[in-house]
Amino acid sequence: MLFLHALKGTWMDRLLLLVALVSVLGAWEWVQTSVGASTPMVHIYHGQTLLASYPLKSDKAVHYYAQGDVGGADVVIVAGHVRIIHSTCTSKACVLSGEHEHLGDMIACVPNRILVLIEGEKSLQLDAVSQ
Amino acid sequence: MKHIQPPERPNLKDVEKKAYWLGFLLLASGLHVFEAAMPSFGPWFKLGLANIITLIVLVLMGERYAIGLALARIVIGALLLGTLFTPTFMVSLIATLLATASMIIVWRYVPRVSLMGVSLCAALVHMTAQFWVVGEFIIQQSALYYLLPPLLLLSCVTGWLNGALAHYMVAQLHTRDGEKIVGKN
Repeated sequence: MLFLHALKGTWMDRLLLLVALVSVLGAWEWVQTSVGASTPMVHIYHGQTLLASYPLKSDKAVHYYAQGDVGGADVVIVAGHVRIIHSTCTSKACVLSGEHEHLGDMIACVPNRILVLIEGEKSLQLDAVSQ
Repeated sequence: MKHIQPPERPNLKDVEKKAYWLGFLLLASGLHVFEAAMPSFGPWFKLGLANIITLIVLVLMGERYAIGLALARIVIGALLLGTLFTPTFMVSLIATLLATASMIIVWRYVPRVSLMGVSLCAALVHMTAQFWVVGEFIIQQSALYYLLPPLLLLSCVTGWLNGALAHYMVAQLHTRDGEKIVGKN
């Protein structure tokens, strides 16, 4: 009972929650409109360097080995999905994150500093410029 | 004959407080490792169970002990997981320290806030700090922030629930001491 009572919080807690929810939903809406709505492209970055770009939806499968800081990662694009099938990092969180297909989706391998990003042509202004 | 002064006996209250702190530290480290072994709900997203212990220590023992526990828990957790001084460790360390700092600021300066509000702010700061560190210093891609809003939404839920759990546990611990605990006035 005490736990259920505690869930209510004080009016200040509820105010903080309301402010947080409104801000987060507003930011989400902004991101949705910013990722672009045209042809989805897969961009593969190492740090700020753009390594490769491929269309997400293509007839033939793409296999790209991205060189990273602690080895590299195997990126595969097939049937409108992108995933990392192998990485030399220890946690393998990037491999375990599975397949991605939506605009704005991304796979990040932090130890390798590799980012795989699905983006439309109309991209966010604050995107990094590839070197 | 030279008279040797026996060492001064430590204050029993201090020893008891340190023993409690060590117990909380073990619990927090265990939860940290347990969470790492759990299936992930998304990149960099964890339930933040170990933060419940930081909240309890903040309320029961004070700010210095809470910062010490957060720091020690990250180092012990990284040692056990084999991630010490890796980029993941640095992300975790900075995010946890900023989240603990936000807990202290909210607990100290926001009126009528309870542990739910404190935990909510800490969860949001922790998630944002992780993205900031990874986006600015490791992957260096601002596009990373696309992922932030949905994860912040999940952080609101886990932050609130963790705060309620911490509130419940603090109330139970105080009830055992014959004191009553409610949200900060």
